[in-house]
Amino acid sequence: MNKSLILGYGLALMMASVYVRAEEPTREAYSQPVSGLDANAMNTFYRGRTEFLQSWAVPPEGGNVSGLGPLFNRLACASCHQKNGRGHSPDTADERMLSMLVRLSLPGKGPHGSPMPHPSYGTQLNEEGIPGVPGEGRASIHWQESSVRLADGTNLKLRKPKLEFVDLAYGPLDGALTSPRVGQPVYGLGLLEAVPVSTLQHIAALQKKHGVHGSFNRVWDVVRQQEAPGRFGWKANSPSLPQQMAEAFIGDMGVTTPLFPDVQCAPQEHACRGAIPSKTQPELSGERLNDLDFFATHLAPPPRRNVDDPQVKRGERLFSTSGCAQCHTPQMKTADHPRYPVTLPAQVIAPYSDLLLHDMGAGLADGRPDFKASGSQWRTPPLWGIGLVPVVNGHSQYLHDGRARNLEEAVVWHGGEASRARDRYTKLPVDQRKDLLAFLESL
Amino acid sequence: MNEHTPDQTLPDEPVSSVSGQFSRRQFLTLVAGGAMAALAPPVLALPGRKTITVLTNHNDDTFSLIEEAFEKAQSQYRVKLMWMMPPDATKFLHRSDSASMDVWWQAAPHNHIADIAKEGLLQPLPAFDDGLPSAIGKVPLVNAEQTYRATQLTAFSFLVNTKAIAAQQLPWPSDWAVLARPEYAGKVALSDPVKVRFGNIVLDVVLQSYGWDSGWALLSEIVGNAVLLPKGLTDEVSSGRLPVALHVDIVPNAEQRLRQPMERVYPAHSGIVNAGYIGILKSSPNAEGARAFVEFILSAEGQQLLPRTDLPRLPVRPAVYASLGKAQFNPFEAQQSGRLTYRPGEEAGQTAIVTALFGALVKDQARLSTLWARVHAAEKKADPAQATKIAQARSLLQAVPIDSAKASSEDIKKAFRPPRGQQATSTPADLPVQNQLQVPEAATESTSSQLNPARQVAESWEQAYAGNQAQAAKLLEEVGA
Repeated sequence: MNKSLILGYGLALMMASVYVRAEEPTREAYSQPVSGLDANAMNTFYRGRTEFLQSWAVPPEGGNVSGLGPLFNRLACASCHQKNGRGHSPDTADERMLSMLVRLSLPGKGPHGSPMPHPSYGTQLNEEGIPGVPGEGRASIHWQESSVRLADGTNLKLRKPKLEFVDLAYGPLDGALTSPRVGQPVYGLGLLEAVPVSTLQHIAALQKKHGVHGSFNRVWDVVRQQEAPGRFGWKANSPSLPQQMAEAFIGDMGVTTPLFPDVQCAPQEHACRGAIPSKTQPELSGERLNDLDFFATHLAPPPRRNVDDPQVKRGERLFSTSGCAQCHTPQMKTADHPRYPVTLPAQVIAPYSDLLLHDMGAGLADGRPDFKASGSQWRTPPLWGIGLVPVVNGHSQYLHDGRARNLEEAVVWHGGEASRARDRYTKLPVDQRKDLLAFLESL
Repeated sequence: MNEHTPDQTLPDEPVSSVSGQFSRRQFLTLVAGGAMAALAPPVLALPGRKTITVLTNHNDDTFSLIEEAFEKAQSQYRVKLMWMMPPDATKFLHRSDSASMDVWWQAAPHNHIADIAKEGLLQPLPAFDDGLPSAIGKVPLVNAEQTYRATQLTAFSFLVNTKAIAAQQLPWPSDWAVLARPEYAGKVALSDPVKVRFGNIVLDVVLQSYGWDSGWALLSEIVGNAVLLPKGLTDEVSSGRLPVALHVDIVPNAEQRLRQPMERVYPAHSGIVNAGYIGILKSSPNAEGARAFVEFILSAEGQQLLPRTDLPRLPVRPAVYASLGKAQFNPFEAQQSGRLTYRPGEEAGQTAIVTALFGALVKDQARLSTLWARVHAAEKKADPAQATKIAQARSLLQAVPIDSAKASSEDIKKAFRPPRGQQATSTPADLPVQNQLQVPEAATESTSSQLNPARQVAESWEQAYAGNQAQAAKLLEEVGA
């Protein structure tokens, strides 16, 4: 265990006050700006927030919010990232995906090493279409349950999704690689973006001593037109916040931006190709994308709670000694933000992530490579704010597809490089497991 | 230990199938593993959920809550949402590709659904129980033909930054008259009714609540304290730059929940300013589903969700307020107790006139504010020798150039009536009318004041206000105020 990672905990707690407020957590806990924004900055933040909440209209109606589709999943950023938080999966096969989608591809590599798009459906299933354009089909989840016995004899029920596609409008999906994903939290992203690559490289080097092999995804930067380290997304498949958002606009809502100016319709999606275009292109201007970027960049992670609680303190120690902190790095220092050095100056943050890819084993694998990320690799998701998911989002689902129904299930699903840490957890007596979970709930 | 881990107890490849087929390997792995406590039923093609397509301009948070709850309650349906502002939706519903729409659920100051109802584009709604009143005060909650119904209400309120109020030791803004007090000089955020569409509501609430003369007198004093803004009221108050704003309650309710120092206050004189309506389109391809959706929104379950959204609305089903907590404003109780003094619709035909009068009042708002500050300062001295002249100055600043009868006279209405061809095409007679008449500022763009009767009248009001203000100034000078 790296001493600097362990020693960083206390400092992280102290430094967290740089960007947090000490208020009782509410459903708005993920919606607060970082502190220190002046009136002009707040106005930009509010403009970006408006864009984030805005539903898009079917062209040619809608004025400056005309541009939905022709194919899409949801109407607004906030649909999948409700209250800037975490999406969830359906509980039954009857329910549809309201804050979740399914990524698609074929085996092989696409342009610049990206996933190979399916010739009929592209890289994600768009369930919806504007009037006159059939949606691509439906994905439903059937949960398969299994039992896992922990060292003290506790039986834990786990569930794993099985996807089914119905009403496919553009032919079969045979051979497609699929990956269901819930919407990720969008707070704290500016701080994560400001972590220097050298810091992450250093963390990766330290991890190797413990048999953990964090690595960068290498993805295509559409702005710089070159390969770049991936940092955002479940598989770190996007290099920057603006690109991540622009990808979501075109992929999830069918809204064009300067980064992705073309509507995405497959050759056989004739109605899609023939749909009435918006009067203005791109549908989301660069200025408005900048406002959104400012908003997402400056959303603060929520403050920790109950930090002096003895149980939380015990759990924090166990989090470290179990090896969880090797990947869920508790503390790191940012550099000045690359685009907003004034409003996001260098600071110490406590994201509980290394932003690196790790092989998480067959249990969590989706089998769908994404640039350099293999079918079993996932980016270590930041844990800050995870304890407030029930408060903000009204559920307690975790992991990329929402399979974990509580934090303990999420821990036990860890495999691959995290097997040793998980095994240490499952060998703990129940009281200590509760301590560790209490610590996670304090984040 | 490893045998206890999910890597070993679950299949070692991603579980996914197309058209409901397990792969042979997956199936054998699952069975042979022996660890499965339960297996989902064999995956067969799902019976198709029937789609209900809803046209709306409700915000995403509101709609997401409703659609998720509805789909859980009525698993045979799925909701498809199309978002458009009501004027765009009205146009869209005349397009051929709108035939897939089932429901129009609107959130807007003007009832656009009434417009298309008049065109015969709606079908009758299902019958509802007695728990849904047909009106609150003068606001209809269902039309005579029962082709549309209100689903939510919006009232007028104050948005208050409690921290700023306390820091500046201001009296609590419990009603309009408090905002006219000297302590509030320069501290009241007000949407400029001349520049902001529907900004006239604040004028109508005061004028109806206090009467024409007293209402204008109160407005003059409040405006003397106000900062007129074209937008950004919420930001001004949440930042603490201004402690209070006058606002319909949607945003104050949201802000109250969003930020600790923010509070929504319903003044003692308030009113329902509008209702949001829902209707089923005559061409609905899924009328049964559409009825189920409408019934859900108007059910206790659906109604209880409305105050919990990002843009909270007041339910129209009175019984649900009992379950919403004491902090929840209950407009039906307020109506009974006489707090809702605003009667939307009564201003019909006078919107442009009142707005023009207000424009004349604030033609030189800086001067008006200064004069009020001088009156307040002089009144504070309470010198009996000066009392008469100070009272005269006050009366001059409170005076309105025309009385109520004149304002509603045919010659004034005629002056403000839009030229033929510019009238609203379909304004529901039974509902609040907004911006129905010509406003003089718009008319001056293409017409000289000599040819524009509205502009001529407005100029005469500006002169009257300026004259009163000059006289007040003179009186104040005479007493050294």
